[in-house]
Amino acid sequence: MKSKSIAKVRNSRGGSAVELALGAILMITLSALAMNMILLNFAMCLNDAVCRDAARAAAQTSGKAAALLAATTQLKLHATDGVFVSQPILTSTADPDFVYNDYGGNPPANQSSYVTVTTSVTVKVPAPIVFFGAKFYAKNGTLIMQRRYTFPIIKEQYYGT
Amino acid sequence: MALEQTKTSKLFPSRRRQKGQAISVLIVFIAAFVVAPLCFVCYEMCLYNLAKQQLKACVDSAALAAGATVATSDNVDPSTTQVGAKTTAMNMFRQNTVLAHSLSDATESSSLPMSPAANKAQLYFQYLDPVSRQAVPLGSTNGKIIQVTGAFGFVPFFSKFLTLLGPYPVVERSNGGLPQLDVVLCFDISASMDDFTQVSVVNRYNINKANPKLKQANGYKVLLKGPLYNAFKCTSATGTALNATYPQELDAGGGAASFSAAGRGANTGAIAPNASATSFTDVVVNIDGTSDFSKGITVSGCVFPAGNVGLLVEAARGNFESVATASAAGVDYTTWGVAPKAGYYAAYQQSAQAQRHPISDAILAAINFYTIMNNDCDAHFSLVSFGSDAGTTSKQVCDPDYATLGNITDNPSTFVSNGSPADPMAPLPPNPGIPLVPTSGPAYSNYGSVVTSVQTLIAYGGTNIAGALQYSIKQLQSSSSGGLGLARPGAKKAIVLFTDGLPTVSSLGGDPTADARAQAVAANAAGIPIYCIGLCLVPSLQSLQTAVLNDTNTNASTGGIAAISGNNAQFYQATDPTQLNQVFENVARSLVNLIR
Repeated sequence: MKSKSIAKVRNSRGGSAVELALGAILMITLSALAMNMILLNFAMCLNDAVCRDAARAAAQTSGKAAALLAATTQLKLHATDGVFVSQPILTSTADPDFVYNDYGGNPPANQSSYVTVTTSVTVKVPAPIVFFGAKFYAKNGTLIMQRRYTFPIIKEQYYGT
Repeated sequence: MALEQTKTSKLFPSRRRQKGQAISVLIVFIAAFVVAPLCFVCYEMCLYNLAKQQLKACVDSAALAAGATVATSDNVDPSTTQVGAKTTAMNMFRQNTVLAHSLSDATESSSLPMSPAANKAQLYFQYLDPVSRQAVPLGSTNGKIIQVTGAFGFVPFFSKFLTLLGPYPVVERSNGGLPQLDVVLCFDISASMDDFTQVSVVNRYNINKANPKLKQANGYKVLLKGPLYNAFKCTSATGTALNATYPQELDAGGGAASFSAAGRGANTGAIAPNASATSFTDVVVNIDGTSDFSKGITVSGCVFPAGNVGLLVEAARGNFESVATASAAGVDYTTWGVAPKAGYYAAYQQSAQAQRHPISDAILAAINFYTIMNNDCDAHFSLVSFGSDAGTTSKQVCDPDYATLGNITDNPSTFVSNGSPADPMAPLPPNPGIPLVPTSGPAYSNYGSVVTSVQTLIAYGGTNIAGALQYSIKQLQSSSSGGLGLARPGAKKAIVLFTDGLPTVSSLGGDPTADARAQAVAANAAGIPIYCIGLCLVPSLQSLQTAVLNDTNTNASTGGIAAISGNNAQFYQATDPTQLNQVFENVARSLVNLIR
């Protein structure tokens, strides 16, 4: 008699545990996705701001070397946790990721000399998904986000005529 | 008791199951209809926010491009400049992306609000009055801020599932152009500022001095010709003190030829006193701009035939104003093909002033700079001309240095001409300073005053860069910091230093170069950039000038004035006077900013 009642209590407890577990799985999944979203949104916004600042800084210089230095300096100013979101980097210092085109001091009509900067951040996400148009590498569950901005060069090098 | 327990145990599981089912249904319901939609909405909001952030940067880029185009435009027609700026801004905008969608097919909208298609962008341009911040028609001279409004057709990612309609326009706005600016132009008027004027160095002599019975007339032997600096074989880094035009300081030529005051004789109405010699008596400007006066020129009806340097000499002395004067002065004009008449002196002086190099080029470039700034931004101007002293008032003149005029005290009539009083230094060369006016509004910009004053400048004196910088900084500093408080609150401050040489004198009492650098340190502390424009026409001297004016070496003892002053100041070196316009435009461009 006692063992029957205990078995029934366990069954009922087990049933609620399963319900709780199922609910928890659903909530954990949603939480993981939410965390993904927060992390990715943070990373994307960060990378966007970094890229914009780097391009603006590079546009205030009058030479490619100085532009690279200015852009790199800006990258260092935007610190990250380094665990989930990596420190932003210049994707490359070569065309088309980094372009410093001042047209030798003679830009064509209705064109401005410009600098293009591309930056990247790597994000580790709990549940990898394609997000915000980011380039997805199924490697260690990381996403690499890239952003490119083109700004007019304000401080042009003077070449003479 | 046992029966009750049995009843309870029978009832309990069924209640638990019902609750469990309800909780499960509730969890699924909440997950499906609350949490998931909230996640989607959050996602869309994040995406929208990102689109907004990216569009803002793209619009900033376009506004900066427009502002930079306006600043570097040497077209003084506002309409043409503004249309060009719009096109450049649009081209810059098209190089960017929003949410990975290219903006290469962005279009211009003619009105607000804009309704771009899905994942497409539109731009709307308008020009604003910097004072009232109201929109003005295209071509208005008050349109000094370009406002770029961008719209992007945002399409929600989950719109298909959630039947969200779209596109929703993301709108951002940015103002580009030159900021409110208080700018002081320090303009070098040292004697070397006309060193590259094409001149003929002449010995005017009496062709029959040895035989008084023969016709007494003047002959003209050209001893040297070409740019003043080169003709006299000058090698000094600070140029020559001899001027191509009044006040000439003929004794200061140096090197290649010596001046003879006795040989020059009375300036007007008298025949040359001496026979032909190797010393020069006159330096005249080749008013056709050639090195040997090979083209000739006609000015205000006065004909100057090609190659006739004698006519230049006599016109410059005022001996060609009438037949009587010319005859008394021994001018044998019968073979020249032209007859004396009133106006030759004025015609020569007018042309000679325009042919002074590089000062006349610098004056035109400075006027262009003032005009561009006046057209493109809410700017207030100051002019500080500097030779041996810095100009601080509009009527200030140079301190005369009679010692450098050689033996003028022995022979004062040597330098007298019809157009000047007896004193060769009267009227004294202008050394104006037009201070800033702190009252807001275009009426107080000083534009008219600085343009008028800069046109009167004559090369004379040393190069007192320290004094000019000191007075400029003082103008821009507030009274509480020991300055004159002539800058407007909130206005960006800048000093533009234009010089053709190196510091040679200092009104501060120390070493001229060290004093100039010390002023750069003071400018740095005051947050004022000193943009340096060095005009250096002698290749071997360019490194010397760069060492003093550069924007790379910030050492206060050995560095460049631009670098020491910091605050993004730059140094531009022009090696030809024709480059000056572009250099001044580069300075204007580097001041471009986003305006909030």
